Amino acid sequence: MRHCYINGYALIISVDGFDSVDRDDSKAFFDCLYNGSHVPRDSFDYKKIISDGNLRRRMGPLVKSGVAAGLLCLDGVPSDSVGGIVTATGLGFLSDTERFMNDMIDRNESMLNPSPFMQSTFNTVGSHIAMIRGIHSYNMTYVHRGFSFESALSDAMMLIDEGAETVLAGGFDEMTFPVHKLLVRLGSAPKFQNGEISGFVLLSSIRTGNTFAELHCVKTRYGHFSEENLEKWRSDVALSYGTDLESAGIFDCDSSVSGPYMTDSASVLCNALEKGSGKTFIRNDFCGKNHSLILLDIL
Amino acid sequence: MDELIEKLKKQLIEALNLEEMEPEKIDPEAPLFGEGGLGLDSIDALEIILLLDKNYHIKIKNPAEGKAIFYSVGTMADYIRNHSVSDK
Repeated sequence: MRHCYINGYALIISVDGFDSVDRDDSKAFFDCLYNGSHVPRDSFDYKKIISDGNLRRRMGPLVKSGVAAGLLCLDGVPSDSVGGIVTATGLGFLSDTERFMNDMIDRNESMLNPSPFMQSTFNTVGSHIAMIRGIHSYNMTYVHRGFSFESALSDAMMLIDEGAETVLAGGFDEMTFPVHKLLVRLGSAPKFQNGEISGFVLLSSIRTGNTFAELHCVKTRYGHFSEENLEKWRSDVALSYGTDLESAGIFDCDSSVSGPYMTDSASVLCNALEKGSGKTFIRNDFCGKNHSLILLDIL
Repeated sequence: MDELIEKLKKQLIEALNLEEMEPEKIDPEAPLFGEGGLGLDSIDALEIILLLDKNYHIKIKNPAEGKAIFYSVGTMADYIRNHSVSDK
């Protein structure tokens, strides 16, 4: 398999409210992590990243956040060198979907505005990035619940292996109050009640002076297993890549600001690229049944 | 101050998500579409049709009239005054 490097990353978190009792410091949270630097909230401006005003004003919050994170990763990258844009979302664009469905009720299923409908399809972010940057290569979105980002990252790695020079891969999800309420009843609600999180990485077959990490593997396993069984699986994965869990750094997907959500591994990967070093695992056990391990070597 | 024009400006800003626009910055006589005005496009035209139906119970039956009716905030206000069934 060809070497697969991470040459850029961007993470945008914008959260309006938390339900967790242990977060009494602030009701709102914003962070933009871009290639190792945090962009202060007052200097972050979507207008500078998505310059077309007509396009921007039709974007829902998650579309805007995802497109911006993807475009930040691609900054300075020639469009013709991008061999694919592979995105992932667990639940998609909830606020646009809710807006469209509320309009259906308000307008008695007639005279509907198509914008929220068009913007609520899963490939919206990937297609916007491609159109803005004029990228005509492979474009795919994975909606695989708790494995969405892992599937996208695996696909992106295969594109690199097949000869692509660079591939953009990212995961994004949002939460709205109604959906959060439903997830609370189901027992799988994240900490954030309302907001959106988008994390993107730029994969490349070429190691440069700006390379952040080498990505080795993405492994997934589905089902309910004993902790002992899972630990053996994780150890076997580590051993097959010449390392062990004890000596590698581990970033868990329930440790981020948001709490676990379907594409949390995308944001945790970005956090690991900032804070980790050496052999590092991103460990995910979403809902106790979506188990994944992402192994990278942070340079 | 024309109350209907001011109300229309606010409704347009809300319906079209013109978040960077203030009502006072919209010239009632300036064209809504194309260069030299708000730069709206065909998707916005559909949203304006919905706005007129929802708020003023006005249905544009002849699409050919749309270009003249939607030329500016002022022309829209004139049309509403002449055709509104009930102004909410």
